Amino acid sequence: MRRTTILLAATTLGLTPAIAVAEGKMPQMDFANPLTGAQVVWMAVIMVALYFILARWALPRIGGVIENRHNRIASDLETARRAKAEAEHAVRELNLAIQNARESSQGAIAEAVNAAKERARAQSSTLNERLDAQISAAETEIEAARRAAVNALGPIARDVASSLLHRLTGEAVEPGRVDQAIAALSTQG
Amino acid sequence: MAQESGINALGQFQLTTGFGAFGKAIEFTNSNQMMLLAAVIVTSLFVIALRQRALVPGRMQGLAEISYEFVHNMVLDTIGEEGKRFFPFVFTLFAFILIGNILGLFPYFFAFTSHIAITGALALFVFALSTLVGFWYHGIGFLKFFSPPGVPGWLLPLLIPIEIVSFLSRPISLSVRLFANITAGHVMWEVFAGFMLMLVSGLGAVGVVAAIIPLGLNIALTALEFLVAFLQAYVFAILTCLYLHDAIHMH
Repeated sequence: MRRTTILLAATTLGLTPAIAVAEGKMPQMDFANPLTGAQVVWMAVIMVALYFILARWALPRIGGVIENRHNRIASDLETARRAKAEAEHAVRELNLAIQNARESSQGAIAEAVNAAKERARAQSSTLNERLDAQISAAETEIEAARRAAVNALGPIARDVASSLLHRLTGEAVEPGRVDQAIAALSTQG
Repeated sequence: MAQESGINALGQFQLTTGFGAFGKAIEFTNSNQMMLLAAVIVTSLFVIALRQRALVPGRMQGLAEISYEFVHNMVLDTIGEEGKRFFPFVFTLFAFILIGNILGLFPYFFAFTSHIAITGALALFVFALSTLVGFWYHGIGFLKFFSPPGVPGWLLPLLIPIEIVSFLSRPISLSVRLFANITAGHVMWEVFAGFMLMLVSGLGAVGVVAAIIPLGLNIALTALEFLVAFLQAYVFAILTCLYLHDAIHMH
């Protein structure tokens, strides 16, 4: 900026006086010409008109348009910021809900597992009881069968012994003696 | 040199009357025609821009908004919050000078900012305004502006006249800067164009080839002049802001 000013000032100083001398007076310096003053008066009229057009109408309106845009951008940014905050809030709530659901589902699973275990335990205990009852019943039956078998052994032994003696001796044996002998044997053995 | 070729490099600054007999009667000059055109261009820009009033601006609206914000920022940055009331004035000044400078670059158009009477009137108005604003804000205390604070007393008799002279020279430097820049550019254009005619008439075929050099210079100068047209309008506007800042804030 300064360089061009200096350059032009130098050229002005260098050229203009030479030309002015060569050509006579510069029209700009011809203050005797009534038009030189008249143009200033008309400039005042034109500039005042331009000033009022710009100051009263054009500039406030352009300023309003610009302000409008600034407000619009600011409000849009505000809306976006609010939407972002809402979205973040929603995400937080979602995460919280997921966490809650996970916790409650784990609780439900544990409960179900416990209930199943409980049921299984109950079932197995009833089954055990029934089995125990069956076993004891079977043992009683066996005992009874054994006793019956043992009781049945005495007459069988007497019959066998009687018929053996009969065969061997060829004589009828007194039933009372066989019973005595068996009783003696069974107390011995 | 220009005389020999029959070209008057200063003829382009000659004032005539515009708008025929009517313009002659009311002394409406060719420079005023350009001023009117500049005002119409500035107004049209806003008419077009404000017809759309789009949220996403088009080209013309963008141009109007950029120029608005450019000057608005310049005024607020330089003057401060009080500058808001001077914004329409600075904008009018900037737009008027900028469009005037650019219009002056077109062939057969008139550069009204090349007239010292015009730039002087503008500068004097800025000077008067800033001085009045100074007294408006500070009353008679605005005279303290001429004695900078923190200066030893024995220096004041020397310093106050210097401050007054520098203050009074503001409108001169403001007006001459704009006038000289625009005048110099237009004179140089015509002088180089005159060289071309001299070369062709003096040297014939060789001169036609040699005339490429001033032609190239004129092309380069055109680019420079567009820069100067913007720059000088900017300088005028920012110095106006600075003077208003000084008037309001006293340094």
